[in-house]
Amino acid sequence: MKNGKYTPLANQVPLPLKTGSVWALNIDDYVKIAINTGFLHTHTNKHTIIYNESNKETKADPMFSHSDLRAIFRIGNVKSMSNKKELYDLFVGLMTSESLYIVMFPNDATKINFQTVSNGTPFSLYINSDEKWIKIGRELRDEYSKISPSTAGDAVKAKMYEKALLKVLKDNNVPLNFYRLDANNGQFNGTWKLLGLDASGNVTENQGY
Amino acid sequence: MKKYILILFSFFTLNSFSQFTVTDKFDYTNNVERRSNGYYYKDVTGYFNQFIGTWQYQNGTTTYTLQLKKQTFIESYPHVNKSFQQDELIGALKVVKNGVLIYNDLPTLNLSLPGAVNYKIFSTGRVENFNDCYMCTYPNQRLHLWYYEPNNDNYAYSNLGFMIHTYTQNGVVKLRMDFSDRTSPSDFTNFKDPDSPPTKTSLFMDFGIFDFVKVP
Repeated sequence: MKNGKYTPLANQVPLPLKTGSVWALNIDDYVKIAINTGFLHTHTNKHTIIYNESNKETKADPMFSHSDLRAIFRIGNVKSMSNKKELYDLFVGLMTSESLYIVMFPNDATKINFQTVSNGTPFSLYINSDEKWIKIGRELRDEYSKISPSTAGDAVKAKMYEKALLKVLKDNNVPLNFYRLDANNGQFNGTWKLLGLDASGNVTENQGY
Repeated sequence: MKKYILILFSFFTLNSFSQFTVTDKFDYTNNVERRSNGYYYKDVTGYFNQFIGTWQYQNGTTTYTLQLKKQTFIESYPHVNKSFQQDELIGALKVVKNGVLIYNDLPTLNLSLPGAVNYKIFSTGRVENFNDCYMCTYPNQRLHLWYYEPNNDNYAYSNLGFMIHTYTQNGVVKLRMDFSDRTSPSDFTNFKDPDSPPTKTSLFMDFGIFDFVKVP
């Protein structure tokens, strides 16, 4: 979706699992490789108890985690010039039962001008500050904790998750565009919508991407 | 004159107390969205109170001292005109191994830091009991807390946390901490410099399940 248009994916490679896990993906060895500019993934079934590496029970939320959001910054954090990546090429996607979601940097964002799109926060802070992501992670967890136990249907809850994510992105000056492509019974044949929040905190949808 | 002072006092009192609307922090069924402007997400039922105090775990020459404190924080986001209050449980840890003090974060709890996330231990939310909550007697009995250690550059240690709950055994109240190892060798990367290995390769506190008892 570079400049509002689709760009073809190349070098599609299945991500391996983390060592010792039967479901968690290992992205760490892949984010710094030059040819990789993003990844699409799913979370485990939101209704199903899964067992983490310590055999502890947990459930996944059908929305981006703070680790997913942090990943797009880490994909862009390469040191050598030969691996240089443009921020507007990067993406992280999540497929849920309702939609395909993508987060991307704004088209005009570079590491040099990053503070102009992030309300003054440099790109390096998103890389170096564990504390920033801990704060974002805690806020997402707080938001999702209210949605997860809701008895509303999946479509309604999906809207709640979208709003929750947008709130946390906005509150923390994380300059990521948040796009949605409706599943449409598995066809994914609609148009991308850029989601945002209006001044009253309601979710807006700009169509046509 | 007294009347004017009373009116003035009432104005300030009402103003300060009417700024935030109280809602139950742990009520997941009401219609109040999380982190909304003007709300006070209060620990109405006193759930946090059971954890407050100083707890100690001892095994041979290893001692963990855990202090937990309940505190109210104002979270402000001026750029979106949002402000709300939250009750949080914050904590600090002291670690002695082989009789040697290797980490002491307890003095941090005496500092007035702006947010719960500025402490090394802070609450995130209550957790379902599932089938592995030891001697749990009511729903969502466990509390999840984020835990991090200073000077971390290891991505594997970026998402640490543990669960706690209290239970009574032979008349003694215990606090069980479940600090399970969720790290993967794949995550041992330096998030600050992807071309270098992480400098932090071990934690002060070991992974495991620890039963603490309260100390004065």
